[in-house]
Amino acid sequence: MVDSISRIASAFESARELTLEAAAVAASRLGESSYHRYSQSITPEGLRSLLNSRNSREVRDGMKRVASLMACDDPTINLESYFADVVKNVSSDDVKVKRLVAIYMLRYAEKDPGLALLAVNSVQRSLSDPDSEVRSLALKAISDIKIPSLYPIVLHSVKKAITDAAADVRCAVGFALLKLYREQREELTNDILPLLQDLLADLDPEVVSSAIILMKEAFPDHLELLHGHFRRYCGLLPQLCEWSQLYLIELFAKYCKCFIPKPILVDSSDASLTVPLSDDFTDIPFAVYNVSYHADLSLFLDSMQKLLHSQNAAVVVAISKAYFELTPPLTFKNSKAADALVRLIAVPSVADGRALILQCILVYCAVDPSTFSRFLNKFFLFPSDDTNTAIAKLKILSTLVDLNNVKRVVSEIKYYIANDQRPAVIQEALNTLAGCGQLSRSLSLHITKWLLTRMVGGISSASLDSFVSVLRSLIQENPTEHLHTMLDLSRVLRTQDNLSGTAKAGIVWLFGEFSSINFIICPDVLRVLIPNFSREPKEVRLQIVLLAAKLLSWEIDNSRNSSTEGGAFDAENSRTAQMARAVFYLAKFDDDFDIRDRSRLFCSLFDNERYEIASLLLQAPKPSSIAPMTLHMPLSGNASSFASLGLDPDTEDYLTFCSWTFDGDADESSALRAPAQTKDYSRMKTSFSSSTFFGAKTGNNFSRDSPAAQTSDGAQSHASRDFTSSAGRKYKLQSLDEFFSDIPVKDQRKRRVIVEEESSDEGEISQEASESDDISVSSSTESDTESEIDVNT
Amino acid sequence: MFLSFYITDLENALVFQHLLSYDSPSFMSLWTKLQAMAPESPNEDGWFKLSISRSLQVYRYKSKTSKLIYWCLATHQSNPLEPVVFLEVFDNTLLQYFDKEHLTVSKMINNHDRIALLLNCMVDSNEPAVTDFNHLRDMVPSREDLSKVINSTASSLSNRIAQRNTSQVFNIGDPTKDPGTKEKLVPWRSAGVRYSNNELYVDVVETIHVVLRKSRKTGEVASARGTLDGVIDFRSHLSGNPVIALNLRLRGHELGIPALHQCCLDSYKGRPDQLQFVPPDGKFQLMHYSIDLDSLQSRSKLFSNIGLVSPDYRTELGDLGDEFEINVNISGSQHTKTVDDLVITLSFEPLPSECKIKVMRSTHGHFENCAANNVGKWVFDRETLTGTLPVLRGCLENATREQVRTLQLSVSYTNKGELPSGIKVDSVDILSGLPKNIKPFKGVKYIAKTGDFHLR
Repeated sequence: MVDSISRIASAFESARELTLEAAAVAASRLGESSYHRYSQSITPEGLRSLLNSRNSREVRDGMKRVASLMACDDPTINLESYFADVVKNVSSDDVKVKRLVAIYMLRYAEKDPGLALLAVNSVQRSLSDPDSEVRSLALKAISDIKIPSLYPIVLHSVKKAITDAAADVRCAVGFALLKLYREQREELTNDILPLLQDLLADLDPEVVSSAIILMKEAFPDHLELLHGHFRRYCGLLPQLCEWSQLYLIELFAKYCKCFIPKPILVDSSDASLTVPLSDDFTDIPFAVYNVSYHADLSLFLDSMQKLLHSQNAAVVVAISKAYFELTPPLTFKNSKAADALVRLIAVPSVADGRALILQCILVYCAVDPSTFSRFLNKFFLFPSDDTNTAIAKLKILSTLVDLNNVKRVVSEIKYYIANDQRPAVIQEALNTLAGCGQLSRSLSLHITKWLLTRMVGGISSASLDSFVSVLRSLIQENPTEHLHTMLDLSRVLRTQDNLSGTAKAGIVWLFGEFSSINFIICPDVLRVLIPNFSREPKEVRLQIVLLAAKLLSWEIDNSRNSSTEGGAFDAENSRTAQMARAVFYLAKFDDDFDIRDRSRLFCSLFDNERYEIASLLLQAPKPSSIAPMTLHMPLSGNASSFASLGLDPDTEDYLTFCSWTFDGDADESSALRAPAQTKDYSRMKTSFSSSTFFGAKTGNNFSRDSPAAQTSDGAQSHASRDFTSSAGRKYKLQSLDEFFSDIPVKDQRKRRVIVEEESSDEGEISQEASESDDISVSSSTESDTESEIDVNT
Repeated sequence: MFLSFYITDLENALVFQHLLSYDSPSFMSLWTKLQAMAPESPNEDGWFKLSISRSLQVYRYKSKTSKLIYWCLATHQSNPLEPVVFLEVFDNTLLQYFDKEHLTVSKMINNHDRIALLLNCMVDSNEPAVTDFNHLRDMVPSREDLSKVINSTASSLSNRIAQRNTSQVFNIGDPTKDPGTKEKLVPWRSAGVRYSNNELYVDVVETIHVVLRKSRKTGEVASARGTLDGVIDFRSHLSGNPVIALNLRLRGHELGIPALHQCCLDSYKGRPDQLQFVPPDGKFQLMHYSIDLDSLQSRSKLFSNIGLVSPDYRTELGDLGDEFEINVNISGSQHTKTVDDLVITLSFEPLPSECKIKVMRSTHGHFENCAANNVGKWVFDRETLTGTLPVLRGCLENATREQVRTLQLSVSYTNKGELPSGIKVDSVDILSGLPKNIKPFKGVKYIAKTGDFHLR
């Protein structure tokens, strides 16, 4: 029996697999697509009549069409011409239509302020709707209309709504204030600040979230507003919305530097040695140390620990940055922030911003490689990593490489150089390889040898340049060791015909530099190059001229040093001088202006025996081409310190931070953060502390147990709801608006054949049902409706 | 501060746009500007961020599941990661909202109004506002379509039959709001959810990213880089406010710092194998973890953790040394009979035009040559039995030994029923909060996929 049932069940299962596809097709035919076709067929005139219809279904169809037109960027239909038709639907009973009208107004209200004002009155009326969703929507809609004459009304509505019982409405207040602030900064600052203080004092995490967004956008420097809430917010942090978590962490990081004393480092071998954390992490005097934090700072640091599990990558990065700024490397290493960052970049990334995370890691590594050294493998490339990610990973590798792991890194990088197709990646891999080569002499020899065999083996000309420049930097680093490499290079010059101009020029230049170390082999290279001078590409000819000049200059210096009396240089019998003269002569007839000019310059230098100037010009020591990947703190405000890392400019901005400014003592700082009064508007609500579920453990964090002040606050807030100062602000258009809203909408719900329409009908019914329930539930808002009517009449 | 949002298909044709003010540029004008600044070249991989002017930036996010690109225009952000993450969240929200595995262009076009409504809720005063999915769904009620009805019918059919309660077979599960309770218990869960059919599903999906390296000298295969990327997706259709305890058997794996859904952050005690939470209603990602394969010391341990398929090859065979042989070991499993859609891609270094990959013998599937002469695909049938050892022998015509030696393989397949790491769901218990007399249907599914699986 059981067997047969399970067989039937599995048959259904497979039948489901089969029918699913068919259903998907059928569903799209029956439902949305057919509706879309119908919607597409609405003519411009038809749309107008739909929007003006008294049937709510037709209005809804019309608004859907408007939404679709707004979304598809169709230049043939001018949506602005429907302004009046659309906007008057703002008094619709359907929240969806209201919302769509709000979206329309957000976009077009600026264009036609006169008509937009038409809607204001009914929006204002819905500010006292019994449904909190409608109220918050109304507040959002009215603040979205960017018309200067409206701002006083918005400000008034906001002041009224800030004591609303529903959290979403108070939440909308934060956003409305932000919009006001953006439009009229200076004039309203004094009005907005106290309101922001109220919002910050709210007990509801949602409201605090919106207050933090307002604060971060409008008043990022008024950090003193956070004094009274610092400790509460630390507990509240995990409950805020993820974006506010991000902003709050950044605000608090700044706050800590302004109002909390620096952490004190204590030498673990001798507890009497203490030093405050300096901005430059590299000059910590102790090898092993303990850190003691101010209680509030450690509260903040601990509260972030849990958020390392956040699914939002930006939050994790913000936490890592806060740790990096506020704590010495030891705490950063132990904080597990590194683990969380590495989790974010563990999978191959396809142009999705992971490169930015890697760039942050790169900066952390450049300051202190030990934090990430155990994750070395994580920075090896995947075949599908995109270019930015690959480059950032390679840079991180070059900061992490040391004598213990260099073998693994070198073999990986060789593979990338041999197999990757992207020139930018190869270039970076070569740079990293050069960095590896600087670690030891044998490695440097090994790497140059490998590079040479690959050059001879024939590679694409694009990456050849990078090969030469890396060779150059390796040889420059330790020239005496590389005699063999140079000999090999001279063989390459002689035998390789397919060298690109730039690569060959690079090699020739290298010999010019090498002449300072080992002069003997260089003239022969010049000798080999002269016969083909005219057939070489432009860059090579230029370098040959330069090589000749350099050799001559060295020869002159050498002969003057050897002959004690400092006699004149015997230009006639010197082979080098003869070759140089030949090259200068050839260059005189060159096509290229630059080459002719150079040869003339060198000729006149040597002919007039200005040898000192020549040696100054030609024997100047050259800096290494590969910059070291290390950074020194402080990074404060000095973008040039990042230059060698090649970061994205925004990442640079993000990671430069101010230095620690607080210099009071600990008690003074603690006193600042005496808990401020909080406001609780949810008298009837049960707290969401979910203590029923997780016991007292989490209940404590939420600190919802209302303080004594709160009841009086709540009462006061409800008293102020009867505030009626918008009296006298009347509009002539108001009667028209009322005219529209007074028309009873007939309920003409017909039975439809289309499946889609039926189902949305159901949605409507359920929505209406919930609305009617709202009225019965919330009795306190009824009085508001009355007061509003008083105002308007 | 966001200025506008756009969604396009992969050819950059506009699908949807949402402008937050009258001055925001339409996609057409933005695109012309972008074309002038950074002309797209086909073989380069895309950027994700481009500065148009000193304070204006365009961010682009290519959806991982759908063939869509999300764009936004934003003013300078202090945290450059924020817009990218927001676009990712937006993509996930749409997927959840429409309850699809991937979104199509026509779905988007048919639902312009809903996307605009969602975005209107997600962004307020040009800043991210509500992004919690349950909250969004309360604000913009979603609509069922026919495929979903059938989907839930089938599951409830088998469910009901199992419970011998055929009278309710056609009572399709759909959340109905309990009007009495408007109060949310936890911010991430809609208030007063009520289902006629209570069910919960746990899907554990692991993606294998591993780069294996075959030593030239010894022929031994070792890992250069390996990661298992695991996701636990949860779908709850439960009445009331249940508290769920999910226990995993980790098989000794270290999950590090997994990303957790907001709902289990509060009760998390550092044990990823014991989670307790009040789930949001509907589908959500409970946990995202990654298992580091590089830290596994022994070779056998590595190979027991990279899934059912392990490839190997030998080159320089035959008289001329231009032949190669690929052996694939599909190990047997108690939990699954087949692996699906197995494809092994062969690639050599760029070859001269006279070279050609030729297959001499193969035990399974067929071979497809690609446009480039150095790449070929060994495509298996839709299902390949586990516990088999497919072999392919071929040669690279007119090639030298060195060229044959550059053979590399990449593997792609999926299988159900077993995870490469061996992680299992031990139990899903509902501790409290569910109305009495309800025995919810519980389902667990394991899926293994490949991401970057290479042998070089």
